[in-house]
Amino acid sequence: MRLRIHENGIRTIVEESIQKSLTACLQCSKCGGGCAHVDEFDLSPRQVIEYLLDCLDEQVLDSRTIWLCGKNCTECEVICPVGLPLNGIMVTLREEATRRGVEPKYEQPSLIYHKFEHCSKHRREGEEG
Amino acid sequence: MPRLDKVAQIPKPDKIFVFKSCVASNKYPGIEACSSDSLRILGIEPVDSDEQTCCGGFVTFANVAAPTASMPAVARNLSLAEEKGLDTCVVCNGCWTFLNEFGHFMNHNAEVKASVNMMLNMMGKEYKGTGSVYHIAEMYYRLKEELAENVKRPLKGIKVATHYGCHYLGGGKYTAIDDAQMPSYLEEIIEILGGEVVPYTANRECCGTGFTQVINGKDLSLEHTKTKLDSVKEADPDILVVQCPYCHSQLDRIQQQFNYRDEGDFQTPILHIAQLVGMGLGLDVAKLGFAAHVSGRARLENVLDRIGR
Amino acid sequence: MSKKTLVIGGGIAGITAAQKIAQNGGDVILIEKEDALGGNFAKLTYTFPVLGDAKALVSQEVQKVQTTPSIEILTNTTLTACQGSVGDFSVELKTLSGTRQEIVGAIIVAAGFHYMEPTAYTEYSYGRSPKVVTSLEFEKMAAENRLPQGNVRVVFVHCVGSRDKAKGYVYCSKICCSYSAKHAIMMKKANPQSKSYVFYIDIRALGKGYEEFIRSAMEEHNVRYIRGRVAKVLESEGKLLVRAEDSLMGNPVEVEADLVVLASAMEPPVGSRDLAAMLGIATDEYGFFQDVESNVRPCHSSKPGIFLAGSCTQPMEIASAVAMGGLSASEALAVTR
Repeated sequence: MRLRIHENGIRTIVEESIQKSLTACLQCSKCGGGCAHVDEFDLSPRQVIEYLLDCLDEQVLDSRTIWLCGKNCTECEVICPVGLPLNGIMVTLREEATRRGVEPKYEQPSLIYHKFEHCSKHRREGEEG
Repeated sequence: MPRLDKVAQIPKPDKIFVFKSCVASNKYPGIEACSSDSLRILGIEPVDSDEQTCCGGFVTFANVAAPTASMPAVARNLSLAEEKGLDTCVVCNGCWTFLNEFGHFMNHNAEVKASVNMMLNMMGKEYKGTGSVYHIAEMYYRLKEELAENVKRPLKGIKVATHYGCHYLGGGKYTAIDDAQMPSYLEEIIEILGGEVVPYTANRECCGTGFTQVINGKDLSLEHTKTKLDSVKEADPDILVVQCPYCHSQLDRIQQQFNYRDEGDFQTPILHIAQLVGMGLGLDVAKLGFAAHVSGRARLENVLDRIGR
Repeated sequence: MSKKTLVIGGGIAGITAAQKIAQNGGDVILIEKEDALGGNFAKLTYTFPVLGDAKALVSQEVQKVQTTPSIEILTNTTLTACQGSVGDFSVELKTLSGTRQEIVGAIIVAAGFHYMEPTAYTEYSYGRSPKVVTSLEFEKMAAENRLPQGNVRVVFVHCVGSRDKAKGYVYCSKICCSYSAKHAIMMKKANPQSKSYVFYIDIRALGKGYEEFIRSAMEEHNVRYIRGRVAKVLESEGKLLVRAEDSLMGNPVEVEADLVVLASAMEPPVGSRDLAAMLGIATDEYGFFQDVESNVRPCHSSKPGIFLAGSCTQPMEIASAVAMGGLSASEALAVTR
């Protein structure tokens, strides 16, 4: 389906929180290239920004990226040529997703899961039971 | 290349407040023993306090609490050093980042500082923001001449690889003494101690702790630990030296988990820089606290055999 | 009133300006801080977008000024003081043998540019690995036949220092896209077994023959262009790992390379602000010399009688520098006679 461009997205909320315009992004993709975690993402950081600019809010808030990225790793922030605070952007998006009741798209911590996962003996028992 | 102007700003005081790290003190007592003893040998008297608590970083990094929730804890801990009129020396990247950044935040936000002080006043304390926080690796680098003079047990022929840890260099830290992408001060310290530096590909990669914080997403975190350990194994150092007890615990203990689950055979001893320096300065082997180490014990014994006990 | 013109800088813009003034009956003092004329042009092996022999071209031009009696060439010479106004500047020149005073009617500043040393780009392992070189070093390697032989991969990295607000300059250095394509072609010609990869953000090759030049690199010389800025260069067992994201696909990619060439930014010449202060003319925020009006009077500095030529005003290619040298020569002639 063809995307109808409009302006009424959560972009404004993000821009307000980081005090910077997202249009600063060069789309050079240096952020995703240096990321150690990018294999796990469905959107690379620069795609998150382009999606925000296109006001594809649902896709952004439904993505795994906003839950996995932006947790003080700062690898992308150091090398961003325009100095976009990607950590801050992800935090704002997580807050917004929580406010709208969007379920986080990553596995929730489960003690049982971890107990079995730690030790192959228990893991086998867990599978059987 | 280390930022020499930043290094020169680090003082050489007579006394320093040594901030205990929860992971170091609970899991690897050798780090605590070695940091105090090595500082004493290098001419700085370590002072500690029973009143000190955890830096508060753990709850924030694990996304349990908002950063502001641990602000009073940071202020309280820093005020303990301020009361004694001392700077703070930490052994953990987490403590370093936390105390430094939150201290910086409070110093530049009068409102936050005032509200934090309101809480501290209730327990008869005040945070002024006068002291500085230094990482013990920074102190060693600052004291490298003293270090060179006091080497009693040179690490001759010992191959050492380095791991700096994200929370010290990452993010273009304003007070870190080296460049985030190409640090070299640990290498210099190793060479001063007589060791041989071994490069490996994943040197600047995370130990795995930081990725969804081990607790919230262990499966994701382990992938990164594996990448790291695989690369280390290829280079085959005698010792992997870290400067953060959390990296230490992750890299040390996860090796055994991988071995147990048949996901590899890892036997690389991990040492904190304080233990490595302690070893070089000739501290008693018992003080190094190797008994608490999980992986590569045999290799550690072999290292001790080679350099003398 | 003096009829002489002082030309500062013996690169292609300064050489052209001196020639044009002499051809039209003027006298010139051409000073150059290095010990030979030619400037940055003389450090190249080939020109673009037509692969011309740079060394032959530049020596031909140098010879022309050397054999012109009305051009006095002073190498190893710098300007140390300047007073006066249009038609009557009194300048002090520091040569190897001492200082000398001159009265000149006009001054042409053709101080050239400097290739940025990418020392701030530690993520690219520059300075740590000998296999990571700048474009200028690559030119030198090519001239000395030291390019890697055999089945090797060479990666060219665009925009190192350019288009980077955080660590470099905001502006685009204009020529890097074209010279990286030139280098990729040179690599392929010197070693047909080699494979070249160019990481780009946008390809900016404006002008006659440029687009065709880039296309020929891709189509005839099999250079692989990948859209994405390189994030990291790691050393790994004697090789280099180049990490980036292929942004057209959105996939993280990795290239195992034997040589990485960084297209470092063009920056103002060293000491441009000091020179501008001495002459009493304006520079822009980066240190390039500022023109009074960039569209119709590109070679007028902020002071009458002092004219600008070449890449000391903005990043530019050789053809533009030559054109600007000619323009400033005619302006200088207009005030000296």
